[in-house]
Amino acid sequence: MKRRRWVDWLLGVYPEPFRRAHGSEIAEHVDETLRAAGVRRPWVACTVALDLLRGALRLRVRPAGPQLPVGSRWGGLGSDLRVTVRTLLKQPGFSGVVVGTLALGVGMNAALFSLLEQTVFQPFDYEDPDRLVYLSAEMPVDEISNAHFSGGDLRDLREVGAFEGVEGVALIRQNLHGAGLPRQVAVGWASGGFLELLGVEPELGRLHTPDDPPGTLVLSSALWSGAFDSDPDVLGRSVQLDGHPYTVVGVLPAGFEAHLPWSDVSPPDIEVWKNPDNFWQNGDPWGAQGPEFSLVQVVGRLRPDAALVDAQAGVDRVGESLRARFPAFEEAGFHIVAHDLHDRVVANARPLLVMLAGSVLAVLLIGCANVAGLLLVRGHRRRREIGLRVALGCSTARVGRLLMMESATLAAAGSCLGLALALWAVGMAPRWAPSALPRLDELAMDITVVAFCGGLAVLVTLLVGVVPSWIAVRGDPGLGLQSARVAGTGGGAVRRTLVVGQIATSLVLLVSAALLLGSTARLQRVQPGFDASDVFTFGVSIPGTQYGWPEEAGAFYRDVETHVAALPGVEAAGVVWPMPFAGSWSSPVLIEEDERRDLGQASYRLTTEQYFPTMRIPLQEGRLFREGDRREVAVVSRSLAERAWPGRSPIGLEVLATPWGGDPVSFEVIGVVGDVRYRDLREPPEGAIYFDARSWSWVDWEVHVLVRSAVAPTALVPALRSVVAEVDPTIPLAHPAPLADGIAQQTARPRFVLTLLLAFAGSAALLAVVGLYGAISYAVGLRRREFGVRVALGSGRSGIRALVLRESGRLIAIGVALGLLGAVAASSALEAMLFEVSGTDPATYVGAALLLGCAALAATWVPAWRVGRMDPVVVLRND
Amino acid sequence: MPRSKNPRDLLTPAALHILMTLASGSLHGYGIKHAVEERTDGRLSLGPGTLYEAIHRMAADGWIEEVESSGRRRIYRITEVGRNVLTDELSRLDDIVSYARDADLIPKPT
Repeated sequence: MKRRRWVDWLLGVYPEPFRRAHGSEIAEHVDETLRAAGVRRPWVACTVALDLLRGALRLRVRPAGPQLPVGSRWGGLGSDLRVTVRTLLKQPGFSGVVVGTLALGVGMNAALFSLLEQTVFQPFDYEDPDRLVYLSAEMPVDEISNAHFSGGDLRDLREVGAFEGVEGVALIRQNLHGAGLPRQVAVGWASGGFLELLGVEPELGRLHTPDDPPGTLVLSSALWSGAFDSDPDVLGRSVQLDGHPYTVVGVLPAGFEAHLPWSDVSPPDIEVWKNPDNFWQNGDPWGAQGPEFSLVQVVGRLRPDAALVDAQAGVDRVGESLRARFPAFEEAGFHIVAHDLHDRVVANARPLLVMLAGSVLAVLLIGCANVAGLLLVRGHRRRREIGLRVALGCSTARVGRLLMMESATLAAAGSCLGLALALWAVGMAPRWAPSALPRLDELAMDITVVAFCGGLAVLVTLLVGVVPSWIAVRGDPGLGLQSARVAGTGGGAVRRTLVVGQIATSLVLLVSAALLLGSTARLQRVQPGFDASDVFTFGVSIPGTQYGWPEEAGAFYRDVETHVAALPGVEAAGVVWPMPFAGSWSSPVLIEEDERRDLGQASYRLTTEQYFPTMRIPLQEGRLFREGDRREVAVVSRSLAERAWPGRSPIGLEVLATPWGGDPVSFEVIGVVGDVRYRDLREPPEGAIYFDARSWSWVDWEVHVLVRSAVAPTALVPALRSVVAEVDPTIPLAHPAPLADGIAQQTARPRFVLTLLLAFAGSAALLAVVGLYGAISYAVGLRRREFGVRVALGSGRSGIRALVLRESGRLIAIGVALGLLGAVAASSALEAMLFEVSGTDPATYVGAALLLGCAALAATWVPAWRVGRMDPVVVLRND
Repeated sequence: MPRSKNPRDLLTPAALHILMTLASGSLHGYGIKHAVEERTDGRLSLGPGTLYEAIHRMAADGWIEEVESSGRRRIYRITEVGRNVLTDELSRLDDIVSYARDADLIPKPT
C-alpha cells in the first residue's frame, strides 16, 4: 500500500483515539479508492481530502460518545444573554458610564500600544534586521556622540572579523537636472554594498554593486513617481547631479526607508542613491582619512555566529589604531561604539513612549477599579433579587454566571467601542504627533494590536467582573432576601483598597502632568535671542564643481541675498549655515594669550552681515563683516566673549577656531552680538562664533537664506524662486518655510507629551473622584440602618456627617500620601523632559495633592449630606 | 445504559445506511462502503471521513460494536440498541412515506 503524506496530515486533525482506531484502515481505504479511480484520480483525491477534513472537524466540534444532557452546563446561555442585554439597556445611565469608562481606557491603551508597536518594538523591514549594527564614533572630551567616519575608516572597519559586511552612507544635497524642473534632492552617497547589506530588493533594475563605476543612480520610489512619472523605461536614463552625468540603474520599492540615527531634526527622505565618486569639491571623503572627512555613517552586518560584543571588541581595536594615527582623535578621547541598529534609531523615542504607556495603563486600571466599584454597588442593590433567584432554585453558580455575563457584556461593549476609538486615534496620530517619533508614517492598526485589545478586554472582564460577582454570591444569599437587616461588609476591604489605589495612581499622573505643564509654560516664555516672526527661509545648494570655493560661492550667495532684499515688501535678507533649529555645527574654540586655553564647544555659523538685522540679533560691540575684510575675522556672541575675556572688550583680540577641522586658525574678533539659543530652547545659549559667508561659504550643501518680510508665503515663494533663477537658472529653490516652523518642531514634542499626559491625568482624576463618590455612597448605603438607629437614639445629624467624612478623609489621606511617594518615584523618569522645573518641585506636589484631595472630599460630601438628611423612621420601617 | 437516539434528531444518511448494511451481516468499513454503493446504484458513495466518523460515533453510542478483527481491518456488527434505533427510524420514515402517499404527494404502488 502506498502511504500518502496528505492523508497522514489530514488524519492528524482527528482526535487521537479515532486516529488510533481507524487511521491505518482509512489510509488503506483511500489507497484502494484512488487506485480504483483511474483517470479521475485527482478529482477523487480532492473529494476524499475534503471529506476527511469535514469528518475531522465534525468530530472536533462534537466529540463522539454520549453527550451531556443539553443545557446542563451551558444551557440557557442564550436566554441569559437576552436577560443581560435587556437589564443593561434598562439602565442606560449605569451601562453608559461603565461602557464609556472602559472604552476610554481600552481605546487609549490600544492606540498607544499600536504607536509603541510600530515605532519602537517592530523590527525594521530589512533582511535579518537583528544582525545589523550601527557604529558611532564618540568623542567624550568634546561632548560629541554619533560622529561619523571617513572612507578610510570604513576600510579599516571592514577588517573586523565579526562582520559579514560593513558599508557606509553619507548624506549630501545636490541639484538634480534632466527630470522635469531642476530640484534639490537628498542624496544617499553610499558605498556600493550598502543597500544590499540592508537586504532590500529593487522594484526595478538593480542595486549598486561594490565594483560599480561612479556615475550610477538608484532612485527612491517617491522620486521615481514624482519626477519620472513612474516611467517603466527609466532604467538607463541619463540625468545630472550638479552637472555631472549619471545613469539610472534601479528603483527602490515604495516604503523603503534608510533608518539611521540622523542628526537632523527631521529625518531626510533620501531620494537618490549614488555610489562613491570624486565629484565633490570639499575633498574626497571616500578616499581620505582623518577628522575633516568624517561624513560617513557606518552600518555592519554581523556574521550569524557573532554577537554584538564581538563587534565591539573588533571596533575597539580599530579605534585604538585611529587614536594612534591622529593626535586630534587621541585628545578627544575618540572611541567607536557598536549599537544594535534598531535600538540606536529608536533610542530617543523610547523613554517618552514608555512613560506614556505607563500613564495610559494607569488610566485603564483606574477605570477598571471604578467599574468594579460600580458593579459592587449594583451587586449590593441587587441582593434581594439575587436572594430571590436562589430561593426559587437557581444555583449560586448560575447566579454567578449571570453576573459574570453582565460584566463580560459590558467589557465587550467597552472594548469594541475602545477599539473603534483607537482606530480613529491612530488615523489621526500623524497629524498630532511630533516628528521626533520615528517611523510614524508607518502607523497602522495590525493584527498584533487587535490581539492586544482582545487580551486587554479579557483582562478588563476579569478585573471588573470576577471580584464583584464573587462578592455578590459569596456567603448566604438568603440574607439578601430577608432584608438588609444584617449589614454585610460587601467587600469593604476590596472597596477601600480600590479607592486608595485610584487616588494614589491618579495623583501620580496629576503631578507628572502639572510638572510638564509648568515646564512648557516656562519654555514658551524663553527668549531665544532673535525674532522669528515674519522670517521666511529657503535653501539653495550650489555644486562645488561649478562654483569655485570660496570666492565664486560667496559671490553667488551675496547676489541672491541682494536680489532678495530688493524685492518689494522684503525688509532684510541674510545667508546662514547651518539653519537655526535645523542643523548644528559645533567645534571647540581656543584662545592663546599666555598659554593656550580651551573654551570648549561653541556653535559655529557662516553668515553674511545682513543675517543679524534679518534675525534682529543685536550688535552689542564693534562691527559686523564688510566688503574688503580678510578671511580671518569673526563675530562672537556675548557669552563666548565673557567666557574668553571676562570683563574685557574682545574687539581686536584673537580667537582660535577650527571651522574645517585640522589645526586651529586664528581669527580676529571684530564684533560682539547678542546670545541666541540655537540648538535647543531648553538649553542655555551656547557660545556662538560667526564666520563671514563671503569667504567661507559651503558648496554641495544646502545653505539657507532668511528673508524678513510681511508678504504672505504664497506670494513670496514664486518671487523668491524667480530671483534665484535670475542668479543661476540651474539652481533650484528648496524647502521654503517660515522659520517659526523649525522652532515649533522644537517645542512640538514636549507639547505633544503634555497634551497626552494632561488628558490622561485629567481622565484619571475624574475617574478616581467618581469612583470615590460611588464607593462612599455604597458604604453609606450599607450602614443606613446603623445610622438610622444612631439618629433615633439621639445622635446629631452633623455627627453622622462627620463620621462619614472622617472615614472617607482617612482613605483620601492614605491615597494622597501613597500618590505623592509614587510621584517622586515617577518624576525621575520625567526629569529629562523638564525645563527649569525640578522633578520634586514642592509647589507642584502640594498643589496637585490639594486639588485632588478637595475634589475627593467634595465627592464624599454628597453622600454624607444625604445620610444626614434621612428620616430614621423611614429607614427603619423600610427594613 | 447507552442513550437511544433522540427522536427529534434524524439519523444521518450515512448512519442509516451503515445500520441497514450491518443489519444483514457483520462487515468492515470498506465492505460497508461497497455494499452501500451497490444498494444505491452508486448514488450514495461514502467518503472515508464521513464513513469512519459515523462508525466511530455509532460505536461510541453503542449502536454497533467491533467483533474480532481480521488482519488490519476492524469488523463491526449491529447491537440490540442499534437495531432498535434502525427500526424506530425506518418506521418513522415509513410513516412519512405513507402520509405522503395518502396525500398524493407520491404515486401509490400499483
